[in-house]
Amino acid sequence: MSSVTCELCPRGCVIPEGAAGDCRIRVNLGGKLRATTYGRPSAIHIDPMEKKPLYHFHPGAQIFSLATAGCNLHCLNCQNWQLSQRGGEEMEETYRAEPADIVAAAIEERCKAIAYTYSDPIVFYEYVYDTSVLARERGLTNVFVTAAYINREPLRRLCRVIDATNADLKAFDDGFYRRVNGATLKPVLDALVTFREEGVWMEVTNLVIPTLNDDLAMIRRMSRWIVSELGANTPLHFSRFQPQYRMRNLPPTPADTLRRARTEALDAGLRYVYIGNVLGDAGSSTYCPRDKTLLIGRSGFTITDYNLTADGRCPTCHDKIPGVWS
Amino acid sequence: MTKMRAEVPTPTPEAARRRFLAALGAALGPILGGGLVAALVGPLATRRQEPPEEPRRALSLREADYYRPHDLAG
Repeated sequence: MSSVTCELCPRGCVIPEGAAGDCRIRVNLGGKLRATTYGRPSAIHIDPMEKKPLYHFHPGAQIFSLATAGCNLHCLNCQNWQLSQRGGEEMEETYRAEPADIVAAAIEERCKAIAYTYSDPIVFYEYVYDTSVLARERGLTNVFVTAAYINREPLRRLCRVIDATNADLKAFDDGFYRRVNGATLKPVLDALVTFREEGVWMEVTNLVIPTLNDDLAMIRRMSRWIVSELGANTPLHFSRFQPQYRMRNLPPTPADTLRRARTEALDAGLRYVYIGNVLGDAGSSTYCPRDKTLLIGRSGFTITDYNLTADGRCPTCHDKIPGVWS
Repeated sequence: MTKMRAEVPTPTPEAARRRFLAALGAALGPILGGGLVAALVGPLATRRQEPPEEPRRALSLREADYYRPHDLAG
């Protein structure tokens, strides 16, 4: 019997012949590890860029978004658990779409970017990589929406073909990762530093769950770490939790909790801090850190004001605002 | 999107037949008694040899990156 060790993510699953790794979709067949959802997405949608969320990367653009089944995390509050906590053969519907089909469809739908998202695209790594290479050749950009639980070597290779990422930092607490996500904190922090080192445009999302990770002292420590390791210009999104999956016993996050978290992060030195999933909140808009000019107004995923100059500057003080605006 | 083919599993005739018999058994069981229903419906349900289960759809056999094969003793 020939087993294999998967070296893609920090789990390092040792997989006997005929079995799948923890993600359910990387399977040992005859002593070779197979990516069983390559070219078999189960979710395809066209979304606004703001839904990823990316607020400093082609605002207002439509992005062709796809996912296959499977995930290497098992978050109790997963909002896509029907997709992420199943193997490819368990899905009610699956498309056959080779990388070239995805790129052609994105162009046909007039999207200028492709997002690998919904479940964690780490587990369909090869499909992401091959599609991204073709997308680049056709002038599209690639967005990787992830919980960043991946080993450094495969991530560095992937960064060569990825333009932007929204990476989760679910809490600044290893115990939280173990209890709620079935993962650990340090590999995630290492991955975020790798994204920065490799020059990928990165925005970070922290889903604030009442009583579990809403402690302001922890949010302050997390914000200071982002300032020191990723840079003060890294946008941070505090998203509102909604009861989901195996965590329906907790209420949605109060908007005031998110506002306090935002204030804490701004005080820690971050310049662009956002509130997500609260319709119409002023914290969803982008302001100039120097003179507080409204740069991009947002309501939900809709842009209500756009005052940046063509080259991405504040119209008042002419400071360059970090991001990819063209 | 037109270039992609969605694969939706459809129940086979055999699966539909088994479901019908199971429903029939469930409906008649409380009236006639479980033993009688089993005697009537059981032979119908088991008469034909089951076809081999086909996989719902062919999964990709693309070889993955980043893995290390090794032999474990035993």
